[in-house]
Amino acid sequence: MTNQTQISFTTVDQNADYIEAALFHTNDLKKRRISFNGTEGILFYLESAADTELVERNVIAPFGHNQDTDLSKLFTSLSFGMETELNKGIQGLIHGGCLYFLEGMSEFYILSTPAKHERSISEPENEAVIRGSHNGFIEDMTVNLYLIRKQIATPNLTVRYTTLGKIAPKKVALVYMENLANPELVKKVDSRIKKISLDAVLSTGFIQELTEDNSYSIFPQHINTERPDHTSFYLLKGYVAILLDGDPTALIVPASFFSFYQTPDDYSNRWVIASFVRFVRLIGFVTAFQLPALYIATVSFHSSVLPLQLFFTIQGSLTRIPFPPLVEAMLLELIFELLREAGLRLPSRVGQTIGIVGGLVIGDAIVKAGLVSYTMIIVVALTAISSFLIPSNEMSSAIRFMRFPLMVAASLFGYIGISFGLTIIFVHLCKLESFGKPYLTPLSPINIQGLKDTFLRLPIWTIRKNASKSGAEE
Amino acid sequence: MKFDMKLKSNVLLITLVSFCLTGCWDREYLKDLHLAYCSAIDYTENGEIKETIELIIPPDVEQTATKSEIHSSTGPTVRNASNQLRNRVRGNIRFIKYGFELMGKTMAEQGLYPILDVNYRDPSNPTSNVRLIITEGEASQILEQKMVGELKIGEFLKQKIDSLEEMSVFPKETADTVFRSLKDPGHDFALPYIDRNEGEIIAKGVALFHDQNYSGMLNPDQSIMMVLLMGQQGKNARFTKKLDLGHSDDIRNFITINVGSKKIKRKFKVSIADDESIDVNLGLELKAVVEEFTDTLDEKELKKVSQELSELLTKEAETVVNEIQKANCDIFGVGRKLIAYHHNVWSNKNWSEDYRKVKFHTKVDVKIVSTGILQ
Repeated sequence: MTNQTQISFTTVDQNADYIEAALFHTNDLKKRRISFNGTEGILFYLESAADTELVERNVIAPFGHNQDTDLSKLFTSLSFGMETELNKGIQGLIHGGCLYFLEGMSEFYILSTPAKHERSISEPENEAVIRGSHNGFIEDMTVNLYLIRKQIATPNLTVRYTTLGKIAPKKVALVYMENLANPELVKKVDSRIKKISLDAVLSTGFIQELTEDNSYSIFPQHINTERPDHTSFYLLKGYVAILLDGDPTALIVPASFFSFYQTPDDYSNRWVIASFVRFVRLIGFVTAFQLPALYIATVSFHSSVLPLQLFFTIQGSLTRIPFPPLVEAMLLELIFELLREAGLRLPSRVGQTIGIVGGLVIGDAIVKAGLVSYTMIIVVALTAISSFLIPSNEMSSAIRFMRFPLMVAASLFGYIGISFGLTIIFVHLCKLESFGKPYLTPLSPINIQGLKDTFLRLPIWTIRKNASKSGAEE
Repeated sequence: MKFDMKLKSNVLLITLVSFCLTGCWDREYLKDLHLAYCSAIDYTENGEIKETIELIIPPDVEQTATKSEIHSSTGPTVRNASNQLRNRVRGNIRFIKYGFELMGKTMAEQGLYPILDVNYRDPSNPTSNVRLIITEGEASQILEQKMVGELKIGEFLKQKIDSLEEMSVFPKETADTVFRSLKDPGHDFALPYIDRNEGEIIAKGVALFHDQNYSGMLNPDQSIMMVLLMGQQGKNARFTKKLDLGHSDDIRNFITINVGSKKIKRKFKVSIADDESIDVNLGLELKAVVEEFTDTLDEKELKKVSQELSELLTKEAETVVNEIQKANCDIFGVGRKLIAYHHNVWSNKNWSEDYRKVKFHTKVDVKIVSTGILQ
């Protein structure tokens, strides 16, 4: 029905009937008969989409005291337009507009009176920084674009809108720097987004999954952030951002593995400190997915690598455990994942209880009950902490997931199993691309310039040259 | 695409099959292991092998010390004796890679190889860091002592050997390096030599070997010189020598120097004369730090003392080399040099006898480079 074109009728009632029928007599459609200079008129708006107070003050009230002037002059305080196609009017209604029909007139007015119920701009909770700007994206795309424009005030910042969703359309914005972004990349992103054919796009997760290079990989191929400064940082490096109306998350492409290990904080810290923190994160990366596997392999196959004193300590704590190390580790990892998931869904006040129950009660009791050993608790706790070190939640989940196959490999084949597992993972990472950019850049293919801002964060003057070009050149 | 599917199903198959490999042949859970720190091997009177081990029992409660047990058994071979042992203790025994193997002198005289064979042949036995020790009496008696003061015998021996290696008394020999020497006709070895005296375990020096048989020994002072002549060096190497200074109170005539803390220059040259007689030039340049000397030491004295020390130590080196030659122990690897550079000469020699005919020219130069923080 919405796809047909229907020229407006000359009688008000005919128009009213058509509009009401088109919206299936929905109850939040408000209809007011207001005559103008003696001519009968009718006003429509959706009380759920339009700002009723604004309608009252700027649309209905002027009729009362300005009956003799031109109709157009009544609405000067609002943006409005004249339209003849009724379906366009219905679109306007849905987006919070008012329609005004006048008897005998072939055109009708669309007045823009959308309701704005938005949350205020606040710092995203999962991406808090110590220093730097403390604002974050919200659910309104216009505001989000405003936040980006505020960071990058240049005509080169380009926004391209697309509408996605056949049943519930939504606006998607492609944001990039015209002079920095690689045109090939922009074209690629644009074409992939346009190819999305969905009934509804509820969150950026949908876009992410439908534009990925490899949907079977467990590694995220889009950087996602709720921070305008983070987004601007990447835009200025020539990346492309995808924003979806109604979602506070921006997707940034192309992603590389190491971009998930960087935070905006790195650039507000002194460079030596920032490099140290990055190094710590890298250690966290290694321990997060290898430590349980290494432990299992060590106690099942290669106990001779342990220093003697440690050997006896671990052996002492293991003697009363009835399970093989893999079962022990899986049990504890499972408990940890349970606690994590439970803590995530609970309100923060109850969440603390989970911490106590999980950390203290279960942690202590499970050892006393002889189900797992203290050393295993240390290993799993260290692993958990290291996995939270990763700034990106998605990468953190990927790494956490990856340790399970490695643990199995370790318990089957020891260190050899781990090395085979790692080989497979690295082969996959080397093969992976995000929008045509190798995932492991700048490590593979090697790029010495790029390495300055990967494992370390060298002073800004040494990496700057590279920073402005990396996205643009492919 | 078809190939792709086949590949995928193959990968899946391999993955699934690998899960069925439950009996993973190499798996050895840490908690099932019983570690032996030390083993001692002797011959019994009727010619059987007697093996004694110190087994470490992990503590039941965290933060408490380990306990140890001593077990022994006999059998016709070492492996058989070990198996007999396994019947007596709680199960499988594994030897620690930093472990020790003690062997009685009588056993060493009859040859080490039959005892060590099982260590080298079975790769699950550690060799890379296992130390071999020769005992004056029966080796098992030392283990049966169980404790030395507060320490378990194994720990005690480890600390003792480690510190004496650091003091350059014992050469750093492990089961691996001994194996190399055992299989090399041109190279022999020396092992730590200890004894038990009224509950105390004393380092008696080093036991010299010819081929695989015990053939002589050196006392601790001599063994320091031997270790230095071998080109090895611990962190310390101390000599206390009496100088001819003519003081009436004896303590003032003595000087203690440490040559191990500075770099040592060693010269080792094997030359062959026309009549195929062999000359070995063995020179050491030692940089000494004076650690104890109650007399005055000024520039002039220093030269004199250095001179005197050089003479004393050269003399000592000559005695050490004499002893070693008497034991027929080619510890410096003269034979190896011959094999490598003068193979014709080597083929003509019967090394077991001709080694004694080698002429050693030893020279030790001492230069005092520091008098400590006192003048």
